[in-house]
Amino acid sequence: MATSNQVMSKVLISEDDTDIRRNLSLFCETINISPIRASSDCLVTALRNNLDLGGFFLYLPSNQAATSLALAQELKDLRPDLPLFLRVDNNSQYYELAKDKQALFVGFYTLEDLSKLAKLVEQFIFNRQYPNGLIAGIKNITLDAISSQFYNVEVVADQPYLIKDNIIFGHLFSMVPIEGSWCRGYLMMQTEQDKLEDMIASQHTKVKSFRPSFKDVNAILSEVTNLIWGKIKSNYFSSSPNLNTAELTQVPIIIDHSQKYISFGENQVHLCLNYRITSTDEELANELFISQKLVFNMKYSPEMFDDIERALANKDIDNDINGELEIF
Amino acid sequence: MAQILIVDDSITVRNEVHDFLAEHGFEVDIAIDGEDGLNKLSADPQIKLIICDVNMPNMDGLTMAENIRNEQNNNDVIIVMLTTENNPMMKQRGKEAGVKGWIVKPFNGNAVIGAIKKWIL
Repeated sequence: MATSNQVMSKVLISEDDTDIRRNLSLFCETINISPIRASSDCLVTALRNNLDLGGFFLYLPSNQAATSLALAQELKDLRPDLPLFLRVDNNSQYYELAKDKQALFVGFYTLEDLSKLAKLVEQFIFNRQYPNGLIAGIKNITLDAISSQFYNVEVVADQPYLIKDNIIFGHLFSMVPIEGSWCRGYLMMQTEQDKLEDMIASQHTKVKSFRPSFKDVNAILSEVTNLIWGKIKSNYFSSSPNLNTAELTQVPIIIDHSQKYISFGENQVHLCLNYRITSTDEELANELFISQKLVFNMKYSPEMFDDIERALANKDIDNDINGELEIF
Repeated sequence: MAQILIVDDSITVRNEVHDFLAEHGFEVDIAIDGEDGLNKLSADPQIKLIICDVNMPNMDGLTMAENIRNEQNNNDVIIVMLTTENNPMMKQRGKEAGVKGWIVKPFNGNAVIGAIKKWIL
């Protein structure tokens, strides 16, 4: 069950009965769920204000099933990655639902058997363990990195959470790959551009500007990300000794949604191919555009391509059939 | 003509290091990546010290260092890495490329100014 060291997850609880809501919330805290209580009429607002959730708890009252099911569908449409846990008054209530309605939920429980809820939460939210040392280390490194780039501020870390949300917070985020011997993925830092601009304009950062541009904002976020990435890579994600160190260098990628802007840290031209896909049915006249871009931001040696082309021309294509199983 | 060249893709780092060294009386130039750094060094042989990041687009700092020693045959300029990297393999590669020093970010000018003055003056 819950331990004081285990990281929490935030769950939105939609219950109109205040006693049940309170009791459920108390139970949640024993299974490391941080409850966010909301009545059914203000769920959308609660959703908008919480972008780092682990799931939803929803109640299906027997006299308002259609309304609750419609709400479940709406939640699923808005946040498809979040698991929905359904509370029912009795088991048969769930089994009487149509299959497509049952499929909205990862499972159901009753107030009489909350251990079932605990098991569902374990299965659908706490199904990956993050070592406490890793969490604490990343937090401390990040606090140091932020503090080194900002003046006259207090930097505090919030309680860490496990989230299923893939919603981007704010307008600006940086992303840098993490390539370790035991894990691979991306570190992302997401923020609000206008708030960071205010910090820069009020001289709280190393960028000296009273009228910061979005590139100034990008510079701060990029450097913070870089500092964090370097340190956590050094501490926790050491690479295989067989890897060429030249292949380990990276720079953060900056994405600014308000500007629809993505930066790979350099000013080279990128290769872009556009594809148009058109329906052959003249009556439908459907048309789709796909734009393809290749960005070689870390290394580009076109003088090596001749050898590759020659090797391809000499390759025995009979032995290279796609879809075949190769066994070593 | 500069005495020190700062090579880093981060504008905040370039500005910070540049301003610190300029306040201490040094002539400082900047470059935005390894390729730019090579061009700046070729154009200004007076540069005595390069302070350089590792992780940069177009050309990383270690490749730049290797280029300076092997392609430009310049074994005089002092190269110091200023980087988030603390990887022993990278440091070894730096040593083999004739890198003289390795600073893990964030930059603390007061900790390195003594050595810089010895190298330059």
